[in-house]
Formats: sequence, structure tokens, C-alpha cells
Amino acid sequence: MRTSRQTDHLTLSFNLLECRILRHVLEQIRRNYTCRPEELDPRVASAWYSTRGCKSAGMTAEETQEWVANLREIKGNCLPLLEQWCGQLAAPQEGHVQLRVKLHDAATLLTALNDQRLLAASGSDIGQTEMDLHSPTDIATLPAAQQNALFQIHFLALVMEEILAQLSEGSP
Amino acid sequence: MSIEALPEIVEPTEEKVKEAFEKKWNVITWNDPVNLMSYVVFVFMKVLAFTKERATKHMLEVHHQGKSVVATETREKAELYHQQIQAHGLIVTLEEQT
Repeated sequence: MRTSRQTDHLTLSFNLLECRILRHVLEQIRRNYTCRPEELDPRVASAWYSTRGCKSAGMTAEETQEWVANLREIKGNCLPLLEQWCGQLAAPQEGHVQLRVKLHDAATLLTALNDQRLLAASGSDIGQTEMDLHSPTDIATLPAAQQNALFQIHFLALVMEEILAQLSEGSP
Repeated sequence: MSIEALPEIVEPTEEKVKEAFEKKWNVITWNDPVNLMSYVVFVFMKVLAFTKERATKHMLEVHHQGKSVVATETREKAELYHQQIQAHGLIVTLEEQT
């Protein structure tokens, strides 16, 4: 993966394998953003739509319901951009694919990728112990589902770090 | 529109006015094993308009102490921060300032 920053956008270049993984990830996020919280895996719903803060704030059931609906709307507002990026990743050229992201849309991409990391972690019971495993030998001791989730979590972390590094360039 | 159709005006109770304008609420962000430290700094800068130094200080507080009070605001503003921070995937709660 390579990244560069132009005046008003970032260009992210991926090889074909990275592109396939990222496209799969973005499509999965897109599908899940269209789901109501009760349609999601309860572990994922509790990560994305946790009402812990609502309880701590003493919000009523009605206020909490409205709060969750607003949160879902915020995620839903990202769908057109996710569709646009999926479209860009569907058109590989000469062994690589470029994803062009406007600077003011980069935060949306970061949050979507982060949501997928939270989804992968919660859906495969990845906690601090698993996140602390770094050597391939240690990771290989985990069940296959957790290995796959960890791979996705670390790959998306790499993409996020690259974007964050580009965004911090030129900022005070 | 007839007078009968007008909505009833509900006078705010003294308690509600006090809660809205006088009581302060702490916005608390909690540690979790998945969110990247650099991403947490980014979220604090974006949502709370922190400088990089201030955002980093709070991120490290979350990382080392398990939580950080990132803002103390009126109920309305605290609720806004609560929603915006959670929309970015961080764990956040509100607590009335004592």
C-alpha cells in the first residue's frame, strides 16, 4: 500500500490482494450500516450502538431509542461515499488500484474502517489478550476465526495509520 | 387553525431549567483494546477541537488510567459530545459533576 496527499484529496494505492480485502471490508460495512441494531450480531450491536452512555446519563427508554436512531442515521449518511469507494476499488489497472478520497471525506473512511475493526473484534471475541499477540507462532495457536479477525484488524490498522499520517502532514 | 388544535404549552420545571443550564456533566472516554491511539487523538481533535498536545494527553490518560474526562459541559453539549464520540467508535459515558 502507498499513500500520497494532493491539494484536496488523498490517493491510496493498493495491490490486487489488498484491494480485494478492502473492497470486501467496505461492502461488509455498507451492508451492516443498512441494518437496524436489532438485526446485527448482538455483540456487534453492543459495540456500535452501546447504550452504556445513555444509562450513565439517566436517559429514558424513549430518549435512548431516539439516540440510537440518530446514531444509525449518522452511519447511514456514509453509505453514498462507501458505494463510491467500492466502485473505485472495482476497477483495477495494471496490477494495482487507486482509491481517491477527498480530504474532507477522509474522516468518514477512517470511522468506517474503525467500525469494521470493532465489528471483527466483537464478532470473534478479540480482547486485550488476543490484541497483544504479535508473533505468527502465537497467533497460529488461536482458532481460525480469531486469526482471520486479527488479520483484518491489523490490516485495517495499517490503512488507518497511513491515512492519519497523511492527514497530520501540514497540520500544526 | 382553531385554538383547540394548538399544542399545550408545557412550562419547564425549575429542576429542568437548572439541569439544562446549571448542572455540569463530565464526558468520560474509556479505554478499549481495539481503537488505535493515533485514531483516538484524531477523534479528540475533530470532535472536541483539541490541539494535538491536549488530545495526546487525554489519549494517554485513557490508555494508562483506563479513562479520561475529556469535557465538562451543560447537559445539552455533553449529550452532543457523547453522541459524536460514540459515532466514531469510542466508548463514552456521561456523569454528573459532583
